[in-house]
Amino acid sequence: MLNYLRELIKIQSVSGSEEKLALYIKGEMEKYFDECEIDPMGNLICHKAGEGKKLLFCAHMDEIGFIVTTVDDKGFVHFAPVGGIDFVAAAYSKVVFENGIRGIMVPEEGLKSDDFKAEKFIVDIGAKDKKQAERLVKTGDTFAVEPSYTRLRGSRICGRPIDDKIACAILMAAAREADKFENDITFVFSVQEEVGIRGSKVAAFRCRPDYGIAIDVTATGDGHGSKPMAVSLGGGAAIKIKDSSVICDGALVKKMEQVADEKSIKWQREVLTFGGTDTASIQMAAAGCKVGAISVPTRYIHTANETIDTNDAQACLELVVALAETKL
Amino acid sequence: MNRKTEGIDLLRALCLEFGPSGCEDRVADLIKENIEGSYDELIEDRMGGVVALIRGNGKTDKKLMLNAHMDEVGFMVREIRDDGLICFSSMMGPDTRIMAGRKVTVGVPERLTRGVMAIKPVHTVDRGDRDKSAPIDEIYIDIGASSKEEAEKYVKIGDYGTFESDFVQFGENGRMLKAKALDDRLGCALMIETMRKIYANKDNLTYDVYFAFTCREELGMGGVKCTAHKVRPDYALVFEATAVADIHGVPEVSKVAVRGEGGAVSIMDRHTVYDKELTQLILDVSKEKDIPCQIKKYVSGGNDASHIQRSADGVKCAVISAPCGYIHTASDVVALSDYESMCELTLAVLERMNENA
Amino acid sequence: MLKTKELIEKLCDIMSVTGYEYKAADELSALVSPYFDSFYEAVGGAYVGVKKCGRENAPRLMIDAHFDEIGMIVTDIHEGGYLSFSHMGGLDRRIMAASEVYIYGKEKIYGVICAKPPHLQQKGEFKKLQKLDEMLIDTGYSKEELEKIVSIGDGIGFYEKTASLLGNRICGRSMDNKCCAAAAILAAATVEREKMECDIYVTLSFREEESMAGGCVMASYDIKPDAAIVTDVTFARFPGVDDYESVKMGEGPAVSLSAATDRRLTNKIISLAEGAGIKLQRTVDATNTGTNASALCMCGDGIPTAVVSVPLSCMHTYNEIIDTSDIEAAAEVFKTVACSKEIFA
Repeated sequence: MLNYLRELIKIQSVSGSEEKLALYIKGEMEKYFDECEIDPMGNLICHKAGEGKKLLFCAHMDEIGFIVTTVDDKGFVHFAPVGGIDFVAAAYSKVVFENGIRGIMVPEEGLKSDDFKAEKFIVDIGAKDKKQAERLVKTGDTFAVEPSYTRLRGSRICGRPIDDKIACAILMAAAREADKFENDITFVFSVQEEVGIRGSKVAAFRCRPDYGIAIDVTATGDGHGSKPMAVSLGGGAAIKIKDSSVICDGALVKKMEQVADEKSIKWQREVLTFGGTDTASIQMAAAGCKVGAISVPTRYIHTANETIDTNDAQACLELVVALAETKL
Repeated sequence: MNRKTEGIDLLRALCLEFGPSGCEDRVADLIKENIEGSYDELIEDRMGGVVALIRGNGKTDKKLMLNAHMDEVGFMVREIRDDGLICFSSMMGPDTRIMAGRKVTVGVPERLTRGVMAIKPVHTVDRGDRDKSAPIDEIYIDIGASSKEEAEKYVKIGDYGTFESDFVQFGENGRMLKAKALDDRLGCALMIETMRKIYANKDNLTYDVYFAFTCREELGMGGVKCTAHKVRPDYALVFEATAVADIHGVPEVSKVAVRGEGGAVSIMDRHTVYDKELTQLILDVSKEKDIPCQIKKYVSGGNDASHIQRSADGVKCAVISAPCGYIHTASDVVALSDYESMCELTLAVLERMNENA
Repeated sequence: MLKTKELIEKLCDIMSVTGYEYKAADELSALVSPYFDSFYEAVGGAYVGVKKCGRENAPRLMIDAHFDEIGMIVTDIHEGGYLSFSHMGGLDRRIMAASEVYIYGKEKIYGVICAKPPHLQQKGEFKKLQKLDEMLIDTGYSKEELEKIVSIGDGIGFYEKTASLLGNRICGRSMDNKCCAAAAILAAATVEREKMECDIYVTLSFREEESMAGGCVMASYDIKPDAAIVTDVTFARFPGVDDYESVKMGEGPAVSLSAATDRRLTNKIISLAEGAGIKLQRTVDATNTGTNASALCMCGDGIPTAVVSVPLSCMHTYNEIIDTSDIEAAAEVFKTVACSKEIFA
């Protein structure tokens, strides 16, 4: 799983530009699943036929980033955010374009952090002037803060983008156990989650599952000055009750908790008072389906150092496999 | 209908009765029915209170007065609008957060009507005002009337009002009680139960005991002032409910007292420094008889003791209060064990005073 | 005979906090399934009651009333038996202090939302409302015992019960939208099958209070209705609420004139009601009806949708006020529509 994560982190996939990542994942998934196809929106849909209920798992491939709007006379690159960017976290960080060009994200001189917004920032790619810059970067190019993967003490790691590549890695690792699956399983690697939960909706409409479960990251309540929340880092796989986009199906939540208990998988309940996930769109596709979500507790989400405990991710992986092989 | 009850049923009946300050008649009637046959004499009280005397055997000429107030927080009808909605003046302070949305009872003792403290929908509150409580002049009592004419058949200007709120026993093994007016019907119930027990054993009673159920405490007017002036007691024990903040996250120093740890004995509050001797006697008895009781740990609030203490040529006063969460709302919450231990402690204190006399 | 007030009271007694509607299945089914040919739970989030006219390929009329009510969810359990909570649906923080709730854990337990005593308040603090995450519920349990009954994620509903005011008016918790559910059920229960020109699908849908596009949207996908009426509550006239966005209580239901709804269907409903002598008020919701209709009308191949709403006071408090005569009039409107040939012409 962590090997997958390291590979996935290296492949940039800002919302709308997930194709390269999709092809890489597809190459791996084809080894274990019967059918793997990329739908018109770019979602990767992998299917492993089974006897039981139709169960869909979904992880989003896209990461937050930026898109170039214009290049000015000084050769500075102006841009718009793609997804929820925290500019306090992004200021002065190194960014990478899809073609490998690097730059620094710089706010206007003297600007107070309260006034940070995209229009007040540029990326300095080291170009002398507009002409030179435009040879390297064009309007519409996407870029993101430099990827990284660092081991902290014990089982904790930090880096970016862990949201939501850890979930992709979890599903890829789960696929290796496909022989054990009882249910009819679909893994969806969705696009454009960070810009408003767009991709998973059409994927779920196509699959019409009985149950839909999204895998994503969630905030924790045990960080420095965190908002009160009962989720902790190292507390196990978080089983979502609600976030601001979705209320999970009560019966499915209970079932997930039961399966986790049976397999001695460490879990905790998650009530997130903000944020949204693919779970919402899966619930609302076509005639709807029963949904749940498994979250990896993550500190400093949407910064360059998203931090997780790999034991939690391992618990999420075990829960995915357990659900896939349990009669629902 | 026989309304004579005891224990929790007595407490329930007292709490559910309508009796805002200045309009305590229904509570007074209920109390009279419940003390019937447990006193020697009813003393006339010009303030509307109920004052009953149990005579001692004459071994001493000392007089003791027990006191609890009958009234509860409420409001008064100020205006009836053309659309049938009712405007009111608060008699419970300005905090509308505990009023908006509640069911209420409006009227006078012989004519009561249900209403709701209605507010405009939150959807129509300006975004910038969403952190503000409802202004008191934007809360209207809706009794379901569609015109002034219809409303005036049921409610008149100057009518009284209180919350309508169920009496609920809840929590682990039903150890908590929630009701409106636990402040101070709890004190009234305690005095009724005490009276019944004292009267049953009155042969040993060395001094005269006056049981004063009084009016208009919540307005700070102290209806008891005139009662004490008339009775001229030497000692007074006041039974009250006191605001506590024993909830999660409140620092120890601000909790005042803790529900479930017994009645709270005050050394001093904002209006009274209590009699040291009498207070110490209560604490001693509590310790010797192993009846829970705690010292109130915060100088806050005040009660009728201040009026009794300074009536006529002065009275030695002490107070025992039930720790009460969310006091002066429709949801006063006390621990049942505190009520029970207060009853027990009161009897033990009276016995000790009897011995000392 | 089915009594309106009694039906509303029984529906209100059923807890259906947004997200926990599934818990209502048994109680609700026992109460209302006798009035339908079939009654089932649609996977997308709605209870569906079907009453058929008996003819093959009859057109389908969907009447949607969301069944969820605002409430809360447990987010943490503290020493001394106190609970932290978050909202399910739009809570009105003006009414929270000292209000009473039920927590739906392994069993139903009672609690009081803590109010801050005056000695801990800053001067003038009573003018400000606490944030939800600063509020606590007092359950009267020790933490240990409480954890045996309540878990994070359990639902919380208000305690308040239905009670009568003057005349036809009643007050209580979750009138929004149980009173409209009652109107839809009443219509299906009392309409004469021989006179019906369509099959009626009453959807008591989930999650409206959180999403404004509750389970009715998904339920419609399988029902494939030819027309739909969404019935929900609207503001009754009240000081501080503009006349143009409110209607009079006791003067009948209101039909919504809006770009989000189907004007042809709406006009037919108006003329049918006029023909039948049913009082019908009008509201103008130019761009958005604020109900399930806005999402429902765009579902599947598209569904002609109208909104019939009922005036309600004190919306989103635990003592919402309605007039039962408005509910009966709304039921009459639905019956008239179901028995009309023109609607599906």
